Amino acid sequence: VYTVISPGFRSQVQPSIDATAAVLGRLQERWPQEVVLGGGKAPLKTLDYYPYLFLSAFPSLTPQDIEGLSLAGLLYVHASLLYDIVMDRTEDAYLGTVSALRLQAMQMEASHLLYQLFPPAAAFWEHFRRYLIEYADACLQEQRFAVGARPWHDYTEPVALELVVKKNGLSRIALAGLVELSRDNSRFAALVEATNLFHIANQMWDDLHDWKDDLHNRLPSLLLSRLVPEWPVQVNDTQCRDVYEQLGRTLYYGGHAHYVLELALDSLHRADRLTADIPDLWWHDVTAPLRDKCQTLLQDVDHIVRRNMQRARVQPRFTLCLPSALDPWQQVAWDSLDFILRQWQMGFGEVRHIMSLPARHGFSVSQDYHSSDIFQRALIADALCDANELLEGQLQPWLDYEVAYLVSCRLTSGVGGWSYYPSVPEIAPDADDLGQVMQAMLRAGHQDAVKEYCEPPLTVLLRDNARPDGSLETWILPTYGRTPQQARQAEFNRSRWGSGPDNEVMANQLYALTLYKPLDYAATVQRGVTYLETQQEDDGSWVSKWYYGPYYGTAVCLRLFAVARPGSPAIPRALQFLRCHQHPDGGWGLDEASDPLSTALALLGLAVAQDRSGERQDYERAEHALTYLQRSQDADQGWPQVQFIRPRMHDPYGSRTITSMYVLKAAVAWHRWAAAQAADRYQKIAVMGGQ
Amino acid sequence: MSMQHTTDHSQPAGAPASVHEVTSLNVENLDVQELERRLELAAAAPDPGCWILGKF
Repeated sequence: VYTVISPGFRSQVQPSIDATAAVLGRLQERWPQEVVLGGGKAPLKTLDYYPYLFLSAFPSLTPQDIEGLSLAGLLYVHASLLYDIVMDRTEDAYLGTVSALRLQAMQMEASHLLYQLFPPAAAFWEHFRRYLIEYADACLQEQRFAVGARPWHDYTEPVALELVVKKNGLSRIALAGLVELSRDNSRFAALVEATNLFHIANQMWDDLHDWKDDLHNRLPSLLLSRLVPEWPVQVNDTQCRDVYEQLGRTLYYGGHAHYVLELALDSLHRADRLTADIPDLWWHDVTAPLRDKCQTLLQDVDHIVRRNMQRARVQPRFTLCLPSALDPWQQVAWDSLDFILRQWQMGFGEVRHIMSLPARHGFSVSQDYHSSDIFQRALIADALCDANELLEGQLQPWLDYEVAYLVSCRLTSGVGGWSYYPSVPEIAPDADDLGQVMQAMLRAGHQDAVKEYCEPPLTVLLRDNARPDGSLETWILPTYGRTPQQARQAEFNRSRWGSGPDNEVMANQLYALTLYKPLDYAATVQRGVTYLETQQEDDGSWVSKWYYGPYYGTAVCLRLFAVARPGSPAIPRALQFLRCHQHPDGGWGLDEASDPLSTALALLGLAVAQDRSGERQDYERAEHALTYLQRSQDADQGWPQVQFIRPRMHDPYGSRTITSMYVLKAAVAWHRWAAAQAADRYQKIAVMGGQ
Repeated sequence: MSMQHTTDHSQPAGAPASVHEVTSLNVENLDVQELERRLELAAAAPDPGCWILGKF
């Protein structure tokens, strides 16, 4: 990722950076290969050319004037970063040795450069000495807290912030060097204060992001001082998940995340005020992204916390009594149902798909990050319907709640329907959401809701988005009389995510039609199935645009074909594809490694076509897959997150709840199949006994 | 505010074996997973201090 600082910086400073690189290269030739000077091949970071960021505060200096200072700073910064390795990872002797040698080499070379720039009596050296003394003091204090040699209650906010400032004093050395070179100290005090405030803000962000690592590595922080009453915290591996979950709850719902983010923002605001009168200060290109990151995160944390508190107050009571499992399939189904229920109790936060779709990328939005669970909850409701049939309707109140939620998420303008991200006006309602919501509503017994909320967008889809070849577009947009918003959606379809039919979306929507009014929509479904037959790959699978791997598309196409065209030659070809791709461990996967999501989807594909096209060995394949699913289950009864939806390149979505939901569906399907086979055998024996 | 979850493996097949009872205002029902995912997304955003200008 190239995040380019102001163009002026690049054009003015790049020649100096290149010159410094050449000097560094010559220095490096004198040292053994392992004794790397600087950051080696790592991308350049702010600290690698730090003094240049303040150049406009010292107008008499040119980039060339501070090349030596910059190189000395680079060496010193990387040496100081190695202190962390030496201090934190002493158990690795080789790493410790190399780090210490690199540290020594860089300090020597940096000192050699600095002695050429500043005479021994220069004030610069006094600043340097003071920094080193303060740095040493801060490291020792921190270590005392870390090992419990100093009482935890002494780790107050002023102490924590003082340690941050003392540990980041190298900034002051860079500024002191600039003052010495320019003979101008008019900005020194303000810049020192501003950079101290920036370091505090940056540390607050780090404290929040790394709080689990800090706890694990026993590194004290202001955030942890607010969170845990005793130090050091003893957490063994078995307690880890529970302790982190409880502390995480306190961190967010106790307002501590809010507090450190506010502190970061306040510090950045004060830093900006201190430097507001310095024109074109490149350093602001460093502070602005941190401010944006903290600002948007704070808004979203506050929003999510408020929403969850509100939901937890009103979410109804639900009691579930699971009978003992009749076979291993049902046990797997009950385990996943238990896990899904627990996620429901927590508001399905784990399921939510959060994506960055900011205004700067052309979206008419007020927030950068968008979150949605509509499609996912419609999928889950469908799986709950499978389980509900085994539980004699026990899940009905839960299903009613979910259907009401889906109704509440519908679009109330345009053609209605559901959009994957309703908070992004450029995203049109789509046939995948519509088809999945229809399935959930119909199977949960809410035909009236389908008539009221699904028929209007369905009418537009079948009237304006159907093609002569039998395919259906994914996006639901009227051909004529488009509103400005719909015109904009059409433009975004064209330029961003593409228009046209998508196999898996069509299969999902057409299957919903077979559930809703099979006779009324028979012609549409048959035309669509004919189209999908032409889209089958040579290996028997179907390609999905919006989902990872071949198993989702193949499973939903098989489900449609099994009810709409059970004699299609596409079915045995697809089954053969599934049979051929089972791994020796019993699972299926996106590559050589099996994963529980691909396995559950492949099992579903195999199950739906058993009546007409099954093989005797399919049940053996399924039982082999069952052992894989049992082995891949997590301790809390759920299954791991696997890449599922592919909203854009390199931006995968996966969810433990979604994986567990497909495991539930597959387990129910094969439990039914096993039970039906057993009943069939029992009947035959009874008939034979009667004879 | 209460939550019960019991599992009795000694029950015969078909008998109730697992009971969940959930009521509102249960602190245990406050999710942190979405918040953690949001934090990770913020961390994955381009590092403002990680520009690639030249090569050492």
